[in-house]
Amino acid sequence: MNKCDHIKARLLDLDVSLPIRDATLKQHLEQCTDCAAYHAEWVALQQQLDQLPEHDVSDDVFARTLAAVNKNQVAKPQRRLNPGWATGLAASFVLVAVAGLLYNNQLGEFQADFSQAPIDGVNQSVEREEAETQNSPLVTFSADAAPEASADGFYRQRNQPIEEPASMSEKTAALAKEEQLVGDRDQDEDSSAERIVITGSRISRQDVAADLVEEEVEMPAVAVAPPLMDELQADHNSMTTASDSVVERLTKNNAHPDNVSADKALRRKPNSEALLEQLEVSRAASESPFTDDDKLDSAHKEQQQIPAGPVVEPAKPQPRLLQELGYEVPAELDRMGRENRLSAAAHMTEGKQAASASAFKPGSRGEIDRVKQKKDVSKKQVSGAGLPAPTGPDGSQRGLHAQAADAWLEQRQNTSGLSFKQATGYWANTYLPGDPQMRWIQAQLLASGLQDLPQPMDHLQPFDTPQNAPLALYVSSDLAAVDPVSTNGTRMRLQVGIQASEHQGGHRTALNLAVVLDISPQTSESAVRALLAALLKHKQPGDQISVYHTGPSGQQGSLLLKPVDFRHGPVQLMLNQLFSEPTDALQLFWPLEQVLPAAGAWLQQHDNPKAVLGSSALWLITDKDQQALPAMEYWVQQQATNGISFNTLSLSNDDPGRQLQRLALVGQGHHHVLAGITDADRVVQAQLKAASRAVARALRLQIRLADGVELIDVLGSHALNELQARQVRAAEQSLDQRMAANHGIQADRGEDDEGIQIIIPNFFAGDTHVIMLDVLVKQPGTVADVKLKYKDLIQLRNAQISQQFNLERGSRTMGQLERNVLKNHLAHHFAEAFTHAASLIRAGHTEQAIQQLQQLHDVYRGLRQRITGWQSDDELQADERVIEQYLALLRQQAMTNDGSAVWLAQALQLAGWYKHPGHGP
Amino acid sequence: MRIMTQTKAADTRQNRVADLEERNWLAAHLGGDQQAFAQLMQAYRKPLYSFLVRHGLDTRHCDDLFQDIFLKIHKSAHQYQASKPLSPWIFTIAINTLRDFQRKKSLHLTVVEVAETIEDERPDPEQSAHLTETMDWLEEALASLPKAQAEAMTLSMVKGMKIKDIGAMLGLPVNTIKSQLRRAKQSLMSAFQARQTQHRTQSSPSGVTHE
Repeated sequence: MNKCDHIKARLLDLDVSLPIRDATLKQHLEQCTDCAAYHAEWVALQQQLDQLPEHDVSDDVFARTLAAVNKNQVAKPQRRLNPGWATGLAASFVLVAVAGLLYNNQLGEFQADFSQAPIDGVNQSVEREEAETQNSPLVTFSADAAPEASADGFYRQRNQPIEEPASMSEKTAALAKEEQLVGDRDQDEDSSAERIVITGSRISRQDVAADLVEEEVEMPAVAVAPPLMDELQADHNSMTTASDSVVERLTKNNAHPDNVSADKALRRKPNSEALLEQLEVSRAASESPFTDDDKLDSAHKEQQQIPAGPVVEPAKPQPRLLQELGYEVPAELDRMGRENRLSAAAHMTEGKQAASASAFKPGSRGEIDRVKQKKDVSKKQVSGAGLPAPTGPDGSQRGLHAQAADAWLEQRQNTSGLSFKQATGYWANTYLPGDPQMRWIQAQLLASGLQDLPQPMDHLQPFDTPQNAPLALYVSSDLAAVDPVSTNGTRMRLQVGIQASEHQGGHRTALNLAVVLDISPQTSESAVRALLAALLKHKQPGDQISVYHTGPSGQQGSLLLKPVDFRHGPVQLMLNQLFSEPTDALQLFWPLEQVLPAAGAWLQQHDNPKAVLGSSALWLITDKDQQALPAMEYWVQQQATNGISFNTLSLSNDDPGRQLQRLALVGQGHHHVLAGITDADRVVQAQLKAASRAVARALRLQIRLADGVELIDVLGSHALNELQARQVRAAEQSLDQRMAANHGIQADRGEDDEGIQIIIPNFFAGDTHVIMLDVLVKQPGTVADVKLKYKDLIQLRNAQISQQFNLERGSRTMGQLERNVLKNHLAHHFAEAFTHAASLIRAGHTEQAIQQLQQLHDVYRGLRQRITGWQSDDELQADERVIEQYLALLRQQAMTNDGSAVWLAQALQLAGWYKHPGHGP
Repeated sequence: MRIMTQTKAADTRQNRVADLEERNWLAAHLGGDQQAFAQLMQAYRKPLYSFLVRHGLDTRHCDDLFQDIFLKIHKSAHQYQASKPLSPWIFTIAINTLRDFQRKKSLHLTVVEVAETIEDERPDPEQSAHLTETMDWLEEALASLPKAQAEAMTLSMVKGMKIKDIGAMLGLPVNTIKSQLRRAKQSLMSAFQARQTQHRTQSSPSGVTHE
């Protein structure tokens, strides 16, 4: 057996629920991909084994079995005594009894009583009958009783072997009769103690003792000798102990320290924070219609989306961010920021203090900002509007660029006056591909003929695409080593990159689709025709597409086309009829509240519960936000939990479709904006492929910073508050449960992890995502442990990737990886600057926006001069050109003031969103 | 991790309490408490029935054996010693009943094979396709394990069952049980890997859709 075979055999013996502790095994798995793959497969198989469904017997069979058992009388425990032992016991018992009687000189009385003891005739005959049929094992030790005792009679001779009843039921009946007999005799006023003793011998002395105590039969002192009484009492005590064991043993066991602690733990549990949280989550989930992962999306969306459109108020930047970016901070804003930080510091929790016990920081949620020793940090003073272009100290543009770049780099490395956040709890997800608001802005620009406005390029990330897994994890930083000199620590950007495989789920699954056309007199016929034509073009065999409408009511109801009729000819005919209706007829339309449930019912009928999520979908094509839409939210959410996603497609050129977007989020679908007839093909393709593009779901990213590493910020993200965190947890668990039900992937969520936790609902094929942390590292060694858990949609299993990031002391040289992180940080700066410039323009401060972009441009130019390998970097040069173009446009707009500022603001916001390293196209 | 460890410890303690509680059921049953046996049946209906199903028996035989097992438990209740866990005792009765049944069934089949012409009972392609679609491959793989391995494996899947208990039930040394379990797992892994390969082939971009 070679080493790998041996390792594989050992892997099979491991408990997969526990981490591998054997260092040799662990090391081998890290080095040998074959064994690692084998282990992963074994874990997947074990999980499937663990979740094999339990089979259950039918209630009918269960009831019949129970009835059959109850039919037989319950049998008393019957000890099978060795005949020899039985004889010996009986003999000794008799000897003791006789000795007792002799001692009291009452043997004669005893003999007289015994010989005269009447046996009730009726009872006797019944007993005999029973004995004949049941062959009951009764014992007598008096020769005087012999007349009635025979081998076949009620009594049998001593030493005669005890025969068992023929069957359990017979035995049970016999024993029951015996009990009855004993009971009768006990209640007989004439029955003497001696008889009780005798009958007791044929059942058990314990029973007799029990009867003595329980029935309180008076025992004449003369009947039983004191030693015998003591013995009986002792037996009774022991028997009482035995009989009480059912209750008492449990009580005693519960009284055991272990069980007491378990009991306490159980009692304590409801009061524990975790359970309270769960309860609150479930309560919140029951109260809110956003109970599923749409809640996750919506929570993140609400927090993450960059405000768009002219109606949106520009987001107020945080003072610290403004300072970092080199803005003048209004005194009031700065004061508010300081107050917030001090308030947060007052809520410092003990979690932080407990961190020293561990290499990594456990702890509680919540922000903790510690304002360190505040020093005067020189800040750039933003020049007023309309000032001439600044020059450097040497009067040259080159010097100015270098100065700007140095200032930016210095500000990145600044270690004084920092405030830190607690690196625990839930943080907002920044992976938001296909933001519909950005699509809407794009459509607006397109419709306004401004599609030629420059847009920046995405940076190409140096992440290898995984071949054997849907996701890969990369951790790096912008420094290759920790500063050996600095006493304040080394400030750096820690980058966590996620790269998805290009591998998709193959061809998309067959669709079960209902299209609802919300027709009004203003609806663009050409747009509807273009959409349905695109749908026809991309329809595959197996797709079932039906069309409903909210148009005039007719005999066929709201259903326009059945799946079998979704072909070119019938579709054209249907559209001709639909748009040739007189306008008046359109007033008598089927309301949306009726059409959507009708379409939903049809989908429900044809839904395959085992199909890929999203294969059953409802598309609402409309050109307006309707009043009825908010009322439909609950219904839409119910459909989504039943596996039918709700998608919206806006035909409007001037409406951001907020209600539609919200409905799509609630319905776990997508919201699209049709930006013209030519956009129909893209929209339909994007929608059709959405279900098959996801390679992983329910991603849980955990970043644990090592002791001595302080978190300054997670760029572009923020810590979620308690309510948001609850929503995220509830959504994750809901997703977890649904994946278990639909795909058989074992549910494994519900526990919070230590460190920063980010939940990403879906991850799509070919996508790249970057999360950047601004951290202060005080000592060399481990910086962070990063773990990514996810539901693998390709191999249908739970998967996990772990990475540890370490840094040693050394010089601050930069390799390619470090430059990549720096470039991503610069892209983040670009996105922030563009977004802020857009806000400034909307607020009417165009000159400040120009200044903002000019500064950004200087930083870019200076960095290209300063950093080796960046002089001719295509991506940075392209970014620079974009900034220059916008600067020219803004200066032109400032000169002419022709009202195009709002479009430039939109374009800047879109450009900023594109450039953000975390945002998808 | 600490939370998980605490949860596991709490589970273990709860299981211990539950184990002690169920040990008293048969004593209570013998004492005339009719609810006690119903409680026992309720607790063991799923594990026992699943155990039978995983041996590849059809519903009718599973129902019959289920009844037989509980009647035997009832009849042998007085033999149970409350100082020992109940679960292994019950599954010992179950495994013996199952073995009796399999022995009788094999004898019966032998007679039939000699007496009559053996028909090809393999499912036709349509049936096979149907079976593949409807049957859980894992239960199929379990049922197709060799008898000794299947017994060890299905018993090991019973919650709380230890290898030592399985050894005692089957009358085999612990090391033998471990070997059987390992072989069973290897067989299941082979089936799993074959299925994974097939799945990847089906879902490859060049493949034809199998939805």
